[in-house]
Amino acid sequence: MKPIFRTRSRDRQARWFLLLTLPWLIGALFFHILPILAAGVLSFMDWRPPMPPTWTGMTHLNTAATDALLWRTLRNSAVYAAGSVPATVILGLILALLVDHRRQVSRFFPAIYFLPAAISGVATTLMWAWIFNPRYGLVNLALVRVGLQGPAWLQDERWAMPAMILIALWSAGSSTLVYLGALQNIPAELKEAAVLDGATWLKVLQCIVWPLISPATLYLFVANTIGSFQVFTPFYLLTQGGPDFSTLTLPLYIYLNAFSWGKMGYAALLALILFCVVFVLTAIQFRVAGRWVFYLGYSRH
Amino acid sequence: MCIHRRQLPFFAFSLLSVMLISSCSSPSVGGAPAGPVRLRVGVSLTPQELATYQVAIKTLDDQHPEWEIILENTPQSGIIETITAQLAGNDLPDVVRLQGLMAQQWIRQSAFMDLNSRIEMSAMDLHDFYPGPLEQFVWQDHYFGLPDTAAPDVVFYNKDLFDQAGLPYPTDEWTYPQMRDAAILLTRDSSGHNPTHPAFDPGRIEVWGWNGGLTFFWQRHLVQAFGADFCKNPDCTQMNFTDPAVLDAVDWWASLVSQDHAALYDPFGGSQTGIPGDPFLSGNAAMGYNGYFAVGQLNQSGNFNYDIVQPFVALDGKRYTPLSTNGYVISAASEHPDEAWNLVSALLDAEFLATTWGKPGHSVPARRSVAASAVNLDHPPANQQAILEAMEYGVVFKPYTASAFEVYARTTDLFVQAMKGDLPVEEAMRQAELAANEILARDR
Repeated sequence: MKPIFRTRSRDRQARWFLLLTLPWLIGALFFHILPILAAGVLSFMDWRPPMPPTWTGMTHLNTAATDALLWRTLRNSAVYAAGSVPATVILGLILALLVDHRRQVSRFFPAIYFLPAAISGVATTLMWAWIFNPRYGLVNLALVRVGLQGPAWLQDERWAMPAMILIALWSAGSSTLVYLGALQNIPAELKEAAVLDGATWLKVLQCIVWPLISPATLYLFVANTIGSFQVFTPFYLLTQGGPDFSTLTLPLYIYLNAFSWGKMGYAALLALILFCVVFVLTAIQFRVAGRWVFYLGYSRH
Repeated sequence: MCIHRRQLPFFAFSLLSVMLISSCSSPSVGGAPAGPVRLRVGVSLTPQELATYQVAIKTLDDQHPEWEIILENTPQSGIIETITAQLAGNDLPDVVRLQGLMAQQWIRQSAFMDLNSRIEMSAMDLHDFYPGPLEQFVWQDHYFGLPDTAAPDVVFYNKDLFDQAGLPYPTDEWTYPQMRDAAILLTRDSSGHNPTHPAFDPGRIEVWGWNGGLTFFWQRHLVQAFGADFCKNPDCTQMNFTDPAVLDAVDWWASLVSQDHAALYDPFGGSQTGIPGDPFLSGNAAMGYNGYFAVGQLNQSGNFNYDIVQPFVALDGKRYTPLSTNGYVISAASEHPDEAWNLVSALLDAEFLATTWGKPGHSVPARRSVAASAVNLDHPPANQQAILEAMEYGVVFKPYTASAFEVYARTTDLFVQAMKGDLPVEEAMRQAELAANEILARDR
């Protein structure tokens, strides 16, 4: 009788689980899965509302293959991700280590570091527009103080993307919080034992702290990489992809094609390309993760 | 009655289903609603325009108990995106007031109602409308909308900066070479030197004589002034940037920017002045083309000492200037086409145009009979007659087909590079022509 009772109980639990997750499942179906499928179909069509879509077959794929601007957007997105993700993660780690080192003030600083994430993205973006103003901006005024003539950051093809990467560092506070959580979960006795054995601070960091926070690092790399390929607001508000397309990223290019240039079908294909790029990058990160991510108390064998 | 624990999931599921279905269903189920017809009106207005417009619409609403007007305002920067999304979702308002430049792309997609038969049956006098704004809503001899306001570009000049340079003010008879001579003398660096002075520093310019060179392809009038033209066919879906006459004209502007240092290559971005927005408004440019809407902005700023003149006389003795227009269209999917047409007729009534647009100084009515309502000599500029004159010969921006905005996005940097001297004019125009004609091919 006992096993039967357990099965019934599990069935009931499963039913409740399904029931309670139903709103999310419905949302995922209607707002994620169906739109992705629709985008897949639409990418083989030409659609200029309100006219009905017309089947164009592989036309958009051929266009994409020869679209120099698409390749440029992919390169721009890759440069932005390569510049902003490691920098954000490293800065987040440094800030977390500093805060963790001074635990008595650790309630104050995490809040300060996380504050940018709580402020409207539009407001902070406009603030950065003034910080990078070529004549009156804080950055160039600071450079003048040290005898340097700053560039027209957001209007100069060579400096616009580096400026956008610098702006991305503003959100390093989120990484700090994640790292802080990971750091505070490291058993103190492990570090104490290492110190008693004569390990230096750097050695403790290298051999104990870094392996134990590696799951957090993996999470941050995956989440920030996905986020960096999807970022839209600062590029839309500050540069609109210019100058000379030097900051035109894939999400902005999708938006322009769909809503400004009336090319819904091509935009749908671009959205699928973005999905594939993010999917492949995430898969690679997880694949490589097995070599360097360490889970405390978990063994593969 | 109590619910057994095993029945709880069923009831919870039923409750969720009812909530979901009720949230998705229309609120007006069961027959046609009685009472006034609800007419949605989509507009894109500045806060000042909206304040006047809301009062006027309320008055109109009160006069017509058969309507209930629902006003939907969209910020101007997002109007294309909003209308595209509304069309995709079959949710376009019954009546839409939109910029004429945007109208053709949707007119050619059958988004708006053909108004020919209604115009013929009504007492509306189309001859009272200026030809430029009217053209913006016509396709294949059919009217798909009607203009309510227009703003021709005229030359604004800062009198204080002319006085400081000891130069006479421009007149309605000025030509482009005269403008160039004055612009060079008006330009000054932080030491007060103009470009003719040996110590002039082009890296520290504080005032530019002319606001902007030829920085995008919709500035067709700036090449027409020299006997050239960007457009090869009537609706400008085939462009010509490499014709020798065009290259000469572009070169004229590029040298004004990069050799004489008397004009800006980034007139609105703020990379040169440090202040994003119009350099004329911030006092960093002594002269420049601008629309009628700048009058309100300048007068609001207080004691800005300025006046206007007509667009400069071209080589052929004519004047060329673009017209920014606005007008009303009716959604082809409107369920109330008759009421929507009656509303549009009321919105285009001469008295309504005068009180809503002309007298408050928001814009110039597109009807000759009331255009003068925008003239108010109690405030600057003194030469407001120049605007009414320019309404007669102003032409709409071309191309205006669906792909025009993509051409703008893809070619503007090439124009800017030509102005800056980063790219030879001939090469920049060759690349621009190639890109423009490839994109516009879809609209031919």
